[in-house]
Amino acid sequence: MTTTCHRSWEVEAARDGRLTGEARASFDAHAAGCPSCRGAANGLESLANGLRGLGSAEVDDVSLRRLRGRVLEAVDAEQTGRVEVRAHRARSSARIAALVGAAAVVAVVAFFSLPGSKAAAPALVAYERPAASAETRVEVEAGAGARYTRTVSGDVERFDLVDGTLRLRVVRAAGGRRVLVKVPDGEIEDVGTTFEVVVRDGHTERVGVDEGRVVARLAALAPVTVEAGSVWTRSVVAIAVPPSAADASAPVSTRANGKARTEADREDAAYLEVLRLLREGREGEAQSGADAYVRSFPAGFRREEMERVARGRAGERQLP
Amino acid sequence: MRQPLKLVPPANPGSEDDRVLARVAGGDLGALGALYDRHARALLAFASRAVGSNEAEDVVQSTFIRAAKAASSYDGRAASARSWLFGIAARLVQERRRSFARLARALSRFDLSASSPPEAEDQSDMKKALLRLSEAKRVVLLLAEVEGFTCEEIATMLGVPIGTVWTRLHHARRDMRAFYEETSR
Ligand SMILES: [Zn+2]
Repeated sequence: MTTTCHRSWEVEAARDGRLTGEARASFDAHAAGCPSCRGAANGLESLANGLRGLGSAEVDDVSLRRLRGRVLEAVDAEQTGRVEVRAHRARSSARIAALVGAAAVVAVVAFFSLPGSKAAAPALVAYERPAASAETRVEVEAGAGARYTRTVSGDVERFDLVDGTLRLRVVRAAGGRRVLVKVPDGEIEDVGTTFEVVVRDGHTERVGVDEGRVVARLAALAPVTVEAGSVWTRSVVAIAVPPSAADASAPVSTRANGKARTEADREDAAYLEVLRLLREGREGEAQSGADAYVRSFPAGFRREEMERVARGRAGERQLP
Repeated sequence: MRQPLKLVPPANPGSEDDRVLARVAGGDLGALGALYDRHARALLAFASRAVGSNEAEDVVQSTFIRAAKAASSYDGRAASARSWLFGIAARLVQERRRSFARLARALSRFDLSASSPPEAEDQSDMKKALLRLSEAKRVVLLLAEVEGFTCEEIATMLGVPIGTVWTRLHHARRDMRAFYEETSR
């Protein structure tokens, strides 16, 4: 047992950089021969060691990689103007109720303010469909004999492709309208700029993306994101995946220089797609997406919640 | 002569992080991915200690989203991209409590991503003691003792006077000690 030294306050001061120059030297000389001060210093060090031992084991590669996908997805969503994150003051509980259900997953996204800017009020967040914009321009190249119609309704520019090849280049300012290609067996949504869709015999045959990316939601398949430099083809699915097989997950083939997407990436994409549908209030589509997820990824990381969504629980969410 | 605050040396202008941040500012997602790969693990460990593992991912996600938006304002006043990112994360931890704790709890009831189990009951005493500190004290304690930032750096990161950092640090240690003495009785 040591008695408390009258200089023991300096232990912390030295550790935190409040003692400099002579004061520091004097204290160090003292502490070298003072059990009380050395004991106090050891106490601080062991607290630090204890803290360093906390939690570090909790960071695993799987969480890191999943989080990476979420981060890039959220930032990409803002940058492409596909959806726009805006902060709102919560005006009424009804508004909260309307928004919370859809926005829960991404809510945390909005609690930021730019350093230096006026701090944003604590805010509830919603993904809002940007207003229709004349800024969106779609350059269309149709293959010989392609049958399609083109309509603009509200903030959606829609191409119904019945048969043949359609190549689209979408030029849009942030906040421009959505561009959807409806195919007989689903739809393909532009998230990027230049892509090509081929429909044959009532089925989507091929989705190739040169720039940006698209999300393909096709019957009986988990939604898939096709990235720049990648080509999705039905034949790959047909060969690789018997219907409802455990791993119905390889719809993306890649070019030689394309990034081979891992199973986990595809799972992430499918999951994120369901979340996107949910937050857009497209419960039915989300339900089928979730169902496809469960079938495609029976051992999936998000399986339980996807099962919940598939059963329609998402529609029952309410405010407390 | 001490020159605390705002006088943190400018970042090494040629550092890899700076180049990456410049690309992030230009909307380059690949660069953001690179920034993530370099710093996310440490940030996630920090956030796990600071808010528990359940909420840590939210903090880190928000950190990078904010970083992406603010990258163009990264002017090298932070000593490094690392301290800049930790500063964002630390502020987020504090802001959570200030403005959004209740809402976050409400939201978490619907949060589809909340698939991890509730915070275990058998947390270590150290963890319990840490989580009983105010966010402000906890953040400073972790930044100093775990992440190794100097008090001057922390002051810059949080935008508070260095005296405030010293005070919070002192009180954090005192509270931790008090908790130990209480529980070991
Ligand atoms: Zn002494």
